[in-house]
Amino acid sequence: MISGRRFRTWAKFALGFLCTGLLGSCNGDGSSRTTTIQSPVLEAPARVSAAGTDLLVSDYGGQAVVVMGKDDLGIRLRIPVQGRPTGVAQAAGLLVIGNRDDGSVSVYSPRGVFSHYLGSGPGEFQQPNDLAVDEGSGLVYVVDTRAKAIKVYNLTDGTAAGTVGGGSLFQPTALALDPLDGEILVSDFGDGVTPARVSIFTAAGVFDRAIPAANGPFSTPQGLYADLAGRIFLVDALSGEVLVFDGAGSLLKVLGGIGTGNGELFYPLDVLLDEGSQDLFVTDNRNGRLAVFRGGGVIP
Amino acid sequence: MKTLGTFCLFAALAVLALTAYPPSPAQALIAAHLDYNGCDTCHDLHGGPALFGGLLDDVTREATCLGCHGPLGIATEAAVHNPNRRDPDRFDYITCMECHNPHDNQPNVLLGTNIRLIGIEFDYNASPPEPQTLATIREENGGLGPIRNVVFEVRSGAVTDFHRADRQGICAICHASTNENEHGLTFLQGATCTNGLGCHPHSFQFLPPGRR
Repeated sequence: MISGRRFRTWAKFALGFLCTGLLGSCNGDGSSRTTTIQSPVLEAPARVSAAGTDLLVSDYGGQAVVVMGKDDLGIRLRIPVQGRPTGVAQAAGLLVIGNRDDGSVSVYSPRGVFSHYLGSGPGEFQQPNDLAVDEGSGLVYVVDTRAKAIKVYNLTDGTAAGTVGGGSLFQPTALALDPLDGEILVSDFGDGVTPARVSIFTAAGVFDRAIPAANGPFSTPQGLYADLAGRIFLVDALSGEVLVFDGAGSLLKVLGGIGTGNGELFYPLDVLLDEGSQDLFVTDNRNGRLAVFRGGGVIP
Repeated sequence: MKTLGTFCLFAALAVLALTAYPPSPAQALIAAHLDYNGCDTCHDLHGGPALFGGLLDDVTREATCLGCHGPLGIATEAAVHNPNRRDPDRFDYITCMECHNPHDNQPNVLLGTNIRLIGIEFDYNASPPEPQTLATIREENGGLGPIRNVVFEVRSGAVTDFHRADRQGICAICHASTNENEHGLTFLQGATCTNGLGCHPHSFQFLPPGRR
């Protein structure tokens, strides 16, 4: 049974899918207006992912998933969530949302109708911190921070398909999939003896290497992104920085820095690169905004 | 003889120093924090201001706490106390350190032992900040509030003293008057929250239903 509130929510969501995916930019009410981002439109954004010409941003504090245009950052749609959303992704026409409060990951159909949970539903995850979808294999990878593992599921029916990282991860917080070779990159705080690092697993789930190999220039790694040029973008929440590494783990550039001013970040949690424009989007959690580093020189 | 006298003088001073001052903050850090990044996580060891151990600025200190205790972090998530405040430099932003001592506890006013890390070390309203010998926190009421004693300890039944009838519980210090909008009338009548953590559970950052 779908309540009236939930039906209205998803009716708007379905309209948003049409608008953003098929008809171009428009608001949830079908108009062509866009909204300029002004705090507190985003209360405390957490994760960001791409959805065609749009962005999907989980507003952890605002308890919503916000659809924003990549070009103008206009709000296309705001989808309320019952709880604090974590990871969010769109793949094969399906929307996948993690929920911190009930420990679930939900999958919604292109019409915006709840389809199924990953696994057994609420309580499946102790702390579903982030997720990513491999469209090729149809697998969803979920970071369960407290379980210290990456749990893998089939997107279409939510059945479990294994785990990655058991025994190799200490306090994982976020992950990304390398589009070049399918490697699985996992941010890990370490455990006090093993320093914070990015652990890299093969597509088959076998631990391969870590960046950096020893103490690195970050301590609180969160969201990360691997681009088509082989670079790795990583946010360090404490320092408010976006670190750019090459595939071998050499630091190429540092963007941002802690603060509340323009170009500064206060507890950033995720990063996304638009491969076409080379614009870099960062969820600036405590500043309540999505920060954009436009391409053209700022990125090596 | 002169050398011996000098030695005795230094020895006496050393004993005096060890007995007159509490353990150094580094010794008092809880294990999880000691294992984290060390002193320079919060202290500028080289070239920083000498006062207060060369602490970093408000934003950096706040980010240091949030690094683990913020959303999607690896430790107990901090309660949302600044939903519409963005800048820790603002006077009405409640920083973590206005309630939490990053080093260790002070005894509370009832001569019990507060749960670790609750209670500030200094009254930052004073200039220069005044050391606090008992556990206190700032009473926030839309601006710089006064400093009040706070009791936050585990009772015999392992229940935590969040709310107390004497209004010295960690929540009631601030949420006991008109600034608790949703329950203002109840609190004005002198009652304390009867359901306490049933409505505002620790595991949900103390957020009530509908705000989770």
